[in-house]
Amino acid sequence: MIRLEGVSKIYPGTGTGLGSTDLEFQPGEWVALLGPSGSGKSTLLRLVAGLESPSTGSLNQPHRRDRIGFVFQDAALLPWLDVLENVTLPLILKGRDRKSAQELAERELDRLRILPHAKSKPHELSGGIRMRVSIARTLIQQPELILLDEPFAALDEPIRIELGLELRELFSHLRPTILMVTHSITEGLWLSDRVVVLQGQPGTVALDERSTLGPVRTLAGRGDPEFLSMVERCFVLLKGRGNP
Amino acid sequence: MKAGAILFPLIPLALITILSEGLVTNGFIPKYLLPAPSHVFLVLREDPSSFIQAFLETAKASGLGLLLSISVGLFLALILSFSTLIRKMLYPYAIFFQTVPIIAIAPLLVIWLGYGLPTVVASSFIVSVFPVIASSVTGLMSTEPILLDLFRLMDASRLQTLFKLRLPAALPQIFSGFRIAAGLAVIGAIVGEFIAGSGLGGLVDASRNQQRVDRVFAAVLLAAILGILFFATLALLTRWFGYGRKDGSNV
Repeated sequence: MIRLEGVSKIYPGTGTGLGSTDLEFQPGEWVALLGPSGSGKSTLLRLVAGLESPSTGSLNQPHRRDRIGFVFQDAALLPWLDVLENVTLPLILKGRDRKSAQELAERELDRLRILPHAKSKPHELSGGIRMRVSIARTLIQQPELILLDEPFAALDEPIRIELGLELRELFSHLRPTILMVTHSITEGLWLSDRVVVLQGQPGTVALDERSTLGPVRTLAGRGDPEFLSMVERCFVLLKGRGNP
Repeated sequence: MKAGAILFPLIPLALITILSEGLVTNGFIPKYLLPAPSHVFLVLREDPSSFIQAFLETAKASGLGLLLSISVGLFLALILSFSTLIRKMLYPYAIFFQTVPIIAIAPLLVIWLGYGLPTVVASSFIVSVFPVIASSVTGLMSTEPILLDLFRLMDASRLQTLFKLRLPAALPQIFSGFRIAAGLAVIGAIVGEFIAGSGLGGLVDASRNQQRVDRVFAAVLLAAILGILFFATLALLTRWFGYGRKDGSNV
């Protein structure tokens, strides 16, 4: 279990970042982090990943660094490597032999339905395929914790929905803990098991609730009255018009 | 390469050639100040062996100087980018190579290395090494932060980060430094030859003493061709490595 007790990280000068925060993330749960820009969503991800140190408080994060997957908004692929080489990179850096790394990478590419693109360079791919490559690179590490920093932000709506549903299905089998930063209230509530809303600068937790949807998500679920009611509550909260 | 990239620069050259030919042959400019372009080509045809020999000497010296600059410059850049402390200690000395007046140093090189190839190569190296160091360090230090985060998360060592991320990401800037160094290597060699007395630089100096402006121009023309050849070779190498494309794959 990941536990934050009184954790804060304030960036000098801007005053933005994360205010004093107490949170717990259970193994295998998918948590969406919502909030306006500067409320500390990405800071929270970076703290959990160990890319930043907290200014105050204690953070207990039990996973080894090489079992943490981080998916960035722009896919963060190395442009001089092809898709297969990008996906094998984490294993090659760990000293794994190229042949077995490639076999594992091909399995991940197949799982994400992008094996035909194995020899393509990133600039030859659409945004959706690039994001799938980035996810394959994360999955090859067999991560226990996956941090998604606005993974669908640069994608068109149909691709966002399709990829979101696929990931929901995939992660329901693999059961990693997932923290996902998103600006889309609907997407965050629809894909996750729990939603945490951060408010203010620096941000603090304004809402922490479990999803009303069942484990299997469908497009029709977005029309569920309870779901829509929660979307509205988050919307009102993020617009600063009321209390949860 | 599009035909226009070669054709368009030739237009002003052709115009200047025609204009100077007309001005000199019609007596507007005296021949002892500016030879007609046709006369420069005549000089080259009259005595090809001495020009070819000088051209090859300069090509050899500047080629060696450039190779030395590329290898030493890149090696120093890798060391400088590896540690902030080393960079703070050594980078000012790298700047020394840019500010050193080569024309003042060249006589010293003759004293240290004698009248011959080593002096010319050293002169070429001193003039051309700084762009390699500066461009390479800039490239190595400007890796995208998000990719550095990615390597940290993948638990990459500092050496892995240098050779698998920083270096390949910096190749466009590194090759840009090589191309600048290519032209400077020829200039450095010519300056060295002025003092050491060989190659095209030596030929220019000897022809100047004999008031043979036509031979000076012929040697300058060959030096310019040599510089362009070096530059074009490195531009082709850049393309061959795939680091000159417009699609963004080079960053």
